[in-house]
Amino acid sequence: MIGESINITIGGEAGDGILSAGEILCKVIFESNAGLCTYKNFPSRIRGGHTSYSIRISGGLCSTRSDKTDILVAFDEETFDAHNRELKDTSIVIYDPAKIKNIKKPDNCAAAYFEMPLGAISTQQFGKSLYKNSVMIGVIAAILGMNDAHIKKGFSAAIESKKGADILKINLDACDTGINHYKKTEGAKYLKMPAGELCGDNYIMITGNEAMTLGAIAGGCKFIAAYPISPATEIFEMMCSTLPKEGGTAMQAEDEIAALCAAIGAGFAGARSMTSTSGPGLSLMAEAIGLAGCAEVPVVIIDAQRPGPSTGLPTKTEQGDLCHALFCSHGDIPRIVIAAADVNESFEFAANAFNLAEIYQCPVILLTEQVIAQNKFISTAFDYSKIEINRGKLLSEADLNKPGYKFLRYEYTQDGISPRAIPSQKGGVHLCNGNEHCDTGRITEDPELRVKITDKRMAKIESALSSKYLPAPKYYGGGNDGVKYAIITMGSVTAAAVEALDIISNKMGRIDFKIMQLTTLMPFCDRAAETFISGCEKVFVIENNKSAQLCQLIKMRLPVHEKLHSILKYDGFSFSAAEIAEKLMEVK
Amino acid sequence: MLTINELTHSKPTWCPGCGHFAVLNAISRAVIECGLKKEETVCVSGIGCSSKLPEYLDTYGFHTIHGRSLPHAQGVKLANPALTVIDIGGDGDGFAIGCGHFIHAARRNVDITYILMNNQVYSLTKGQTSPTSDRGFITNTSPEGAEEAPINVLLMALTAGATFVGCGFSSDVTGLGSLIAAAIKHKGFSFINVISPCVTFNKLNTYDSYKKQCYKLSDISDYDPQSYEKAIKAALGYFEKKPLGLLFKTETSIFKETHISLHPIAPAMQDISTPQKHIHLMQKYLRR
Repeated sequence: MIGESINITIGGEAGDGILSAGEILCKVIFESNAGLCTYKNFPSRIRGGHTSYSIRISGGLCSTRSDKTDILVAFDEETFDAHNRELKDTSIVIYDPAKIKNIKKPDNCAAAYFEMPLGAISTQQFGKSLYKNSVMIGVIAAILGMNDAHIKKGFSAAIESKKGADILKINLDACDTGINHYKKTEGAKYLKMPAGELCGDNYIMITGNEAMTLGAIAGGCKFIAAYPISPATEIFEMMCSTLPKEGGTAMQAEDEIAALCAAIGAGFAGARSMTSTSGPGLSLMAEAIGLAGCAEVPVVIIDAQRPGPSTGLPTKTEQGDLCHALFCSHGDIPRIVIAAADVNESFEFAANAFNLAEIYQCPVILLTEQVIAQNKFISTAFDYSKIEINRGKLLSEADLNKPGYKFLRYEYTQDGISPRAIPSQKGGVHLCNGNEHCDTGRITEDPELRVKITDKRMAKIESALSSKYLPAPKYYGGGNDGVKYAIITMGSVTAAAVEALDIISNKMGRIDFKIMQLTTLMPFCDRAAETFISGCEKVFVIENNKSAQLCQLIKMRLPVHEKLHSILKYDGFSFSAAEIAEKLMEVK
Repeated sequence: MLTINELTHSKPTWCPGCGHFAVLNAISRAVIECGLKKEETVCVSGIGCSSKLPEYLDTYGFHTIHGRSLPHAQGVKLANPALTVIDIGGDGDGFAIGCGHFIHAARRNVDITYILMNNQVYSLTKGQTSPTSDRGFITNTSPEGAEEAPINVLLMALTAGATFVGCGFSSDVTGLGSLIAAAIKHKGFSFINVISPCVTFNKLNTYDSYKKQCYKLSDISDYDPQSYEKAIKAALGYFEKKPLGLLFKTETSIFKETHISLHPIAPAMQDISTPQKHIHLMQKYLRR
């Protein structure tokens, strides 16, 4: 249960410093032991265009956005166009008149409006308007009655190491000015800051991309080749600065084809290796994914999804790459596709993706979404002690040179997994091959051998199903027998659906829904899905795309077509809990 | 020391008389001359007649996909700089579908050797025009003669920043072998254009016609492979007179040299058994 939460939205033009103000505010909230998740909405350009930064504050952990705003700060008129529908009677709206001539108010809404010349206050007091965001943070702090010590610690965490003590002091003074200004405002209204429940030192504030990167490095990744692309760029940037210090290396490729091919080369050479990309890059990688499947080279591909098709909406969110991840590349190959729903899963799945890639010697595609990748979440610290490293059938030089042993790179085995050697190992010399080959790796066109090697490769799918490193489905909601309605989700939709059940139970007094979050999409565990659905009247598959890709996958696997109902969203935004609750109550 | 026999895995399926036999032989000679071991040598290729070469060589090998051998080869080398990586391919593979990768591999200067087996025609698909085909070359896909200007691969290598550029000919295995050995020994991206005639699908550019066009750079008394200007000049004349030997060589820092010197243990050879040793990376996200 998320319980009471407060949602703050700051809107203005890109370049107004809204993103950095949001980051400072997050650090202040983090100090108060509250939970938070952000929702950044920004255009695909460097300056200009409407930008907004929303922070949802809750007492405990929260990982899904709210579609209502308690405090709206407007630096431009577009903020009203974009966020008026989020206002409620208890909302407080703060606006800086510098760029705002008309205040557009929603009809029949009793929200309170306060004009605050944030820029002018900053200029008057500190000689420039640069500190208007700190004045604004002061105003928000006053509304929520934030603790002074938390403010100081938060500002200092955000500013001191980067800009020094002098700049920190000016910003803290500006924040104080904002607090005092608001307190003196006639008719000032106040809201209650959720009481922070996340005490102790075991909490982190992190984005999905950062969590993925930490997970990959913990999982032993030593090589990345990638091409910058929103919303995955931060993974590659962080890898470029971090990996060399952790014994690895990074290469900025000339395109995504080269990126995956270089990663495959490094994987063949024995490094745990990856690339990070988004939909357009994954499209370019299709042929090389087939190579990794055919030549049985371990490689991890992180796909931070954004809305397609084509260039689509580079800075928005969607779950539209699923079918491509499942089926791209010609021919039959074994592959593993997993989808993370939050920062914890981002860390854990990223680390385990490298185990899966090496054990099953195949490409592993790890899906995330812009909404997770580029937003901040407060989470329990990642548990490094739970990460195991398992390199599968990678042989040592001693294994390879045991008397009487003859190494065959693509040896036909029951589980489909062959022994593996890497260049530099004596006794392991072999040809890694994307042409059809026999057990030695050399080309063959023999029809019997073709069938034999194909069956061997594809047997790995079945073998992988029982792997402890393969994420298991997660279940939420009414666990009792006789629950009439089942919900199936993947990725970010899960948290919104879980919260939607709270909303429904508050309204209806009971829950007759249960949720299964699919974390592994390939190989697909028919039995788990079948068991979950059995006895339910209806199954709602909720996903962020137009063509119901997750629903299509379930239809391919299970004969339950008439039970399936899709709830879809593809406007570039993630689902909110309220939206899902409303749809579920409407259709059930 | 290895012998050519020990380096041979199986009998090539190339047509009798194909220039590629000489390249295979020359690579083996170079591996022997450089004193390399089988297990520390990796031969990477794309797709095509020439790209089948790793099938016949008994070292580690990776037969990849069309046009993409260079990114794979760079990945192998960056993951384990102790390996000797020889990338080979044809003119369609390297300069049509893979042309973009060539330019970036040259300017990136990863320490690998790229050998182009240039026969100016697509052979495995049975005779179509290639990006190095002469203008007017008649094939199934250019029935009125090739209309595009051929790519001057030597000039492209030089302008893209390759730090070692050479040109060899299949009819001179000894010269080619020493040129490849020099390329392997060179620290940085080395490129050799090998004139390697296709006796089946290219009746325009033959051993005889090439022989008439070729000259040895070592016969030019004032030729200096350290001179970029002289190399450019020799490359500019390639379509009329083909310069054999070392065109250009310069020493500059290789890609990720600082990472390589920072970690004597290669990324591929690192001990990854303790994820906990990376826990310090999470520190900055904790509440202070």
